[in-house]
Amino acid sequence: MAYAGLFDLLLKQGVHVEGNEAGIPGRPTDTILPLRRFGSSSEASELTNEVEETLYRAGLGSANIHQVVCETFWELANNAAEHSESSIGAYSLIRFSTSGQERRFELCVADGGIGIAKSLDRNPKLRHAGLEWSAVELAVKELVSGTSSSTRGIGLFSVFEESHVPGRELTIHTGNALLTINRRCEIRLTRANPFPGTLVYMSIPT
Amino acid sequence: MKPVNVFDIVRQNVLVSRESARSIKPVLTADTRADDGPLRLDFSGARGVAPSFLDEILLVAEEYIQECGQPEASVILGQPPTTLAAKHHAIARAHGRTLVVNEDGDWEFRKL
Repeated sequence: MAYAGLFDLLLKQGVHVEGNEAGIPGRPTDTILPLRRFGSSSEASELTNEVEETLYRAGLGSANIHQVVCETFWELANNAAEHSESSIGAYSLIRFSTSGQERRFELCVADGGIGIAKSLDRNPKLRHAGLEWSAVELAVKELVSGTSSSTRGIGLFSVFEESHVPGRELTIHTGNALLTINRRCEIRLTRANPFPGTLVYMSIPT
Repeated sequence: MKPVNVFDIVRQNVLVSRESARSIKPVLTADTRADDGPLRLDFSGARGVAPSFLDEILLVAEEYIQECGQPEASVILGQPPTTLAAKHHAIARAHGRTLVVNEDGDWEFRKL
């Protein structure tokens, strides 16, 4: 996503990103949602409905994939707005890329906030090591949230579950923890150059 | 109970925010308490619904049936505008309910 200008924008806000290789540069693309800044849940809601309207009118991909794109985008955008405490807001981008027979949606939401580990620390009921490694593994589980509400913690879990479909890809980069699911549904948690905030990228074939 | 059309109240193609889910609360009045059957929330007209919206609207529905003295009543989502997935069963579990898909495709959140 670096070439799409997201990291340049973050850099202007004082958020420097090194070595993130999410995205597939060089493909012809249609922009569904150009790089946009948002700061609140209501703005995220407006963006999500704008995306749905664009998909509906453009007729790119199938209708059931539109639902996955919109619902996933909302959960990521709302998480950024609600939990990141990012002083620079959050940025989002959705594209539709084609390469030969392959057509896929690419979503990215990034913020310069406190990261997943500190967000989970807000929940006094959680017992985790406070490390980015353990936090990101914990955050994708069912009903794990930075709030203490008993029914919260579905958002990132639902994104993680949606990624367990062959052909889809997921990257969650928070601090120096990088969790990925590749197209064969293989999960990896690796050390990466620190990302000062949280970035989530998802790629969905249609 | 009379069905409530969620899309008519929220007026968004994709139902997403918790705040908008809560906007159905004033519509759940004495008029909705016509009988002691399940509470039916109809989603026809919507083109998508996010998990967080579903969680919040279930909370609102449970507050309402609790006020009606029927905390065990089922909550039925008519014509859900999304594909059933593991996340929806997780929402049901969080509410102490099980999700059953009826013959007509509606989702019944049945109290365990």
